[in-house]
Amino acid sequence: MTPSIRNLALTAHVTTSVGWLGAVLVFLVLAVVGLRSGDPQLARAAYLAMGVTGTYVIVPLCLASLASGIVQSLASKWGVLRHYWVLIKLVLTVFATGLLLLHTRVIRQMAEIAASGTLSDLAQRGMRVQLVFDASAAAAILIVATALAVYKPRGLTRLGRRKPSADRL
Amino acid sequence: MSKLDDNAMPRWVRVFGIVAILVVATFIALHVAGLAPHGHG
Repeated sequence: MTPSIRNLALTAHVTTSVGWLGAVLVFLVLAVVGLRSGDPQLARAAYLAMGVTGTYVIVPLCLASLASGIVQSLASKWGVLRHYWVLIKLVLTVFATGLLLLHTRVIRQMAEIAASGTLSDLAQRGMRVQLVFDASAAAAILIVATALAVYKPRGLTRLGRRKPSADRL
Repeated sequence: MSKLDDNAMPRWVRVFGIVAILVVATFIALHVAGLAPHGHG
């Protein structure tokens, strides 16, 4: 892979990853507003916005970040399984992706309830609390993943110690 | 740094693993106790 294409891939990975974190933080704020706001109109608007954000921003960014991260690792000296920080970041990203894909149903359900105008303070409390919890967990995971990418703490895995460092592509 | 140190798992990975296990264990305990947020169904 040429340096310019590698930089393009890195730009794509950083953009999608940071965009994902930013979108999750917005989602968290909307989830808190939906849970805590005493204004039913504002809560309804928050869940409608969460439905659109989740489907058209967070899920695509999440999948793009995961895919671009794997490509980036394979195309660079770091590899996917050679360094602990890359491996742990991958595990965190896969976990966050799984958490998101598992809970898109709850996001859609709340958006549909908000659209139908049947949002109730007590009836959907479990789902509303869960959305705040999920968004907080996702934000925490993504902040840790970002810190790992910035600090790149040392440490080779067993596989990394066996194979010499090489720019493979 | 000795060869033994180079081959050992770094301390930060161990700390990270312990924290991750504690978080997952807390989450499971909360679920079992019925205190975790639950919105399915």
